[in-house]
Amino acid sequence: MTASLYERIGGEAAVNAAVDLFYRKVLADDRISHYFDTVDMDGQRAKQKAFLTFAFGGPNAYSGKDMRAAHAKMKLSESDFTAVMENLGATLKELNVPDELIGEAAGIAMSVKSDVLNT
Amino acid sequence: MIRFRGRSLDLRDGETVLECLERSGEQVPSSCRSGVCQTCLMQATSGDVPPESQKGLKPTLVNQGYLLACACRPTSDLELADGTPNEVTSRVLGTRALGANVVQVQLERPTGFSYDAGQFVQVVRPADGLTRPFSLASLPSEAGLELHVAVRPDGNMSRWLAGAQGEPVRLRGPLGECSYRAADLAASLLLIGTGTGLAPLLGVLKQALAQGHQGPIALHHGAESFEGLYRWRELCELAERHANLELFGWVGVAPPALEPRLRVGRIDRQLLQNYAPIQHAEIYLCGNPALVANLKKYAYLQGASLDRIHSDPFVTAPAPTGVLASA
Repeated sequence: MTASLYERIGGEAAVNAAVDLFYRKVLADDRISHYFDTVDMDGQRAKQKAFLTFAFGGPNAYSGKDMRAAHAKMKLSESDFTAVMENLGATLKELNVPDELIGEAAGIAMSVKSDVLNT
Repeated sequence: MIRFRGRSLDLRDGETVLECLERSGEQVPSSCRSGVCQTCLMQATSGDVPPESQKGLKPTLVNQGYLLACACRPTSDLELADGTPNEVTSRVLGTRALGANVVQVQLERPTGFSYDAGQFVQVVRPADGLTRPFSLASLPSEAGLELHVAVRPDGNMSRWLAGAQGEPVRLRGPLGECSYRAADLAASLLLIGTGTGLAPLLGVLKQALAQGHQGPIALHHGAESFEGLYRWRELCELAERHANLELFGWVGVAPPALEPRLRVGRIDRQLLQNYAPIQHAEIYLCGNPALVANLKKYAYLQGASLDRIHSDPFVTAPAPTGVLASA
């Protein structure tokens, strides 16, 4: 049996290495920074950690319904979603994660696209 | 066994605190249930906290007994706080005007009241329950509690406190994690505050010096006018006595004599740009809320760790105006 994506990508250590890179990238990305800009930066960082854990195939309790409810009021567009995906990819590249694993993580993130965009 | 909201609850084999509370009908917020999202953060007031339930928490929270309920399988009895802090009775011992509408308020320290320098308390006026947060400028080794109160024309609590000598008050707390961590005496400390945001910084600074902090400390205090640097002389004396303390006063209006440590201008993000050790420094930000939010974000983008940026989430100042407004 092959190891799970979470194990191959490096588990919790990988999430910890990625979370600040990723959160800094989205905060500095003028296209989407306003969605991530909050006084409660610790809380926002924890959300990014939960998201990365999910995208890396790790333990999580995300459900489609939660994702839908959490993003419903934000009225996100296709291009917002694309921007987040780009930042996710760039983060993993910076950490020298092999392309094939980046593809798998992107696939998991893509799986919630319709819930996030409420389509 | 865990104690929570006056109930004693028995844990089943292998059960987490979160599972036990939910099974017992207690409402506790939670989300990921895997020790990641920190939604189920709770504080233990007594008992041994399992280290695996504190993974990923800020050191200041770990020291205060915080834990993630979903990752906590207790090895001893645990008493859990239900989110409402202790309330104790105190009294205003004295008040002293410090200039620029800042009044120093000395409170009686309630028996058994322990805190870390830089934490804050909610002060409750007994007559009507009016409640406002104030940082503690005193050290835990001192007999009394010291607050710095900015008295405002429309400030219900501040105007009352300024003349409340002898009056009883209630205190909730201590709260917050804007306190000195002695774990690394060689760390660089950057303290930035405007107005009465100096109060917690003074606590942190004096605590650091008392514990023999070795690393470089930089303190920036900003105010509209020189009078607003209400503890300036005392700070200058501290800087004279401690070679590792660098002091800067920022004022909007140039004072008659411009001392070497004074700057005319506003505190802004440039200060962080020019601060070399930012990635490993402990950074304390207090005062004007908009400025604090701005500096916190910028420090993080510059590579500072959020675990090392300390600021308390309460508003002590009115909306930013003039020289203190952030860029």
